[in-house]
Amino acid sequence: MLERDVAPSLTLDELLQILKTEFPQLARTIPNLTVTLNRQIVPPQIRLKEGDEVALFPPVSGG
Amino acid sequence: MIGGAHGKILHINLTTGRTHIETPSDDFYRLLIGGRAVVAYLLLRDLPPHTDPLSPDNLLIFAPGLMQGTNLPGSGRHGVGGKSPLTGAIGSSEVGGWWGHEFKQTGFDALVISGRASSPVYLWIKDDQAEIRSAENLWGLQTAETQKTIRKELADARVRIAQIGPAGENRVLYAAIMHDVNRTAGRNGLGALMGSKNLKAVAVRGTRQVPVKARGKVTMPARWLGENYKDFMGWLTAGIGQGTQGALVSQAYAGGLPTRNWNEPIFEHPEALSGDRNYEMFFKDRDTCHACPVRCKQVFENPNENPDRNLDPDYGGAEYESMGALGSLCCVEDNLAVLKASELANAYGLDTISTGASIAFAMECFEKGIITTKDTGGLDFRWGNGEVLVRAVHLIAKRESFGDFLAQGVARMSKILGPHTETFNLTVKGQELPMHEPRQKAAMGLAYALAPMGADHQVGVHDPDFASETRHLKRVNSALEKRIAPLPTSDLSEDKVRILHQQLNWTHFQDCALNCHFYCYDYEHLAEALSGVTGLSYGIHDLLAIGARAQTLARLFNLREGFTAADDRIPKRVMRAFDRGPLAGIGYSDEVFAWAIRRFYELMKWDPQTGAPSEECLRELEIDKLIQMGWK
Repeated sequence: MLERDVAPSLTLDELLQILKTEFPQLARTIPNLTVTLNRQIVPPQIRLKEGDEVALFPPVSGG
Repeated sequence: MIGGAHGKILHINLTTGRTHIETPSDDFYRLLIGGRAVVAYLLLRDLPPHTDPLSPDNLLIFAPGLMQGTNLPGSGRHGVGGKSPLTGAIGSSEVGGWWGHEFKQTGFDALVISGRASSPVYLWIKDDQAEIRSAENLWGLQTAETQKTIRKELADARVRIAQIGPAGENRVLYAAIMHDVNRTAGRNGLGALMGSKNLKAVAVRGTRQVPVKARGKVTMPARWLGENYKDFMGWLTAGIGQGTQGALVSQAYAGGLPTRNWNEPIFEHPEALSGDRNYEMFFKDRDTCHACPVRCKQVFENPNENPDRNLDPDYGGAEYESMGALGSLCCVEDNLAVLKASELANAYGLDTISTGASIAFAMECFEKGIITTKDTGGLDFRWGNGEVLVRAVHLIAKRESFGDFLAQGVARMSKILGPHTETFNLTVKGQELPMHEPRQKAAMGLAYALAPMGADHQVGVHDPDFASETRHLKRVNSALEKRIAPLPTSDLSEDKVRILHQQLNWTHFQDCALNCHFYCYDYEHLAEALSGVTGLSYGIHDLLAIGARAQTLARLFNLREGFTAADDRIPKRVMRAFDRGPLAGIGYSDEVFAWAIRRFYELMKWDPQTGAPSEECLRELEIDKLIQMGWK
């Protein structure tokens, strides 16, 4: 679990870019993960607000 | 002769003991390539209409494709088919492991089994020699014991074995065909079909090289895969991820883990069944399929004197689907009970999805007083009872006591109990739903409705893959003139149906090429590989046409057997919105769903009302040529 203070009206997509810079070893993995905001899968253009919870998880497709 | 093929299909009639070898034309291979398309074509050609699936006349078909035996990463799979005893529709199930590669090296491209042996037998195919051998000593054995016995009898530890367990012998309608003990052609009850033929196993060993026309074209995508799979498939990969079962917690987090027979919006304690917990308690090793560096399979172990708490590493470990169907769907939080139930399914030869769904249905009936301990033989089928879960798997496989009732599957049980149970009959065309929530994945709901085999998650659309600018969306757009933008997961617009259309053609193609669905190949990679193998020139649209052909052939078979457009629907329960949880408020009206199905028919050039393929469709897909090659 990471906590981050981010600029007002930052988008989810912009947050992911920050994470890619902060964790370069994940830069190629992040685009292949499913992203949720407050447990819902949302478009990356959505703007974040205080208290939001962002999660990244694998795209389960079978097994 | 086209590359990738030996040019021979082996037919064996178990009633007469006779074999014959068919030598198909190049057009057969070019148009069908393998797997589901071959199964559908052979059923249309050789199976009389309305054949009882458990009669000797039904065909059991093992069908690798042109890519098997070439060592292309992701090609360690093959298809198995016949008329499904569970659904009465086409049965077509794909499986990984090592059998398909080994079979292909015997020198045959497919195996078609008809008739019924007068006593239990198994087939031994070594290169181009096929022998029918007694299986009297194997009948009743669990799968690991059968494998050991056959390998000892044939004095060859490298023999690969496809087999049924006691569940298939007892014709449980969702019995599986097991390969290498822990790889399952699980869906459609093909194990019951194999059991009805008194056929215990098919053992294979081959040394014939599969001819590849231009090896360099196969090497290119293989090299690309080697350089990229950890980025694209890291969540599955040994040393990075925990395979499919590792994703259970995140599925639950976003409301996508089916719970309490699809009637609860969230599984409250997913950590109890989590990959982290399973790894901490039981991890032993990872396992893989032929020519696959990913090693997505788990091997779990738990030595215990109580056989129902012991985990045998020979049977591997559970996948996400199994953890969901036997776990959250039944509200069982005891991870060892869930893993044991999954292991028993491998030992007895059962489909874990239909097994878990059948038990969940019974639990709901029990909780609602529709069945009682008088029906269950005293077993307490309340939600979450892990002990009963494990006991039920034993009973189902042996068809003992209440297990005989459960062995029929959900649709038949619901019909017997009465229309008041229809609400919790979660099936499509008689097959139980896999563990992907249509309220989280709208197009997956459509795919469940449209799958010719009954509800299936492999030929589907995982909507989150198309909710942002992913490589999946880029792949789809690469074959479209009018680009599609990312879409919400609950979207059922024209663009989502266009994604569905292309994605179903792609996934049906993958089930003909027998390429692992987890693999991250783009269209160009497999077009290049298939061209290199065959010596022909396949482009992106040729691949999608193969998928469309497989779908259309399967549809023609189902229409012939009496299925109609009315069968392309999903249960009401998964269209109704939850009032809480991450998916609260997301549901679908009958009208929107029916529109999307009709629109899909139109894109396939099927009749928008009946779903019957048009003349134009048959001509464009060259199915008219296949018809001229003759079918009943």
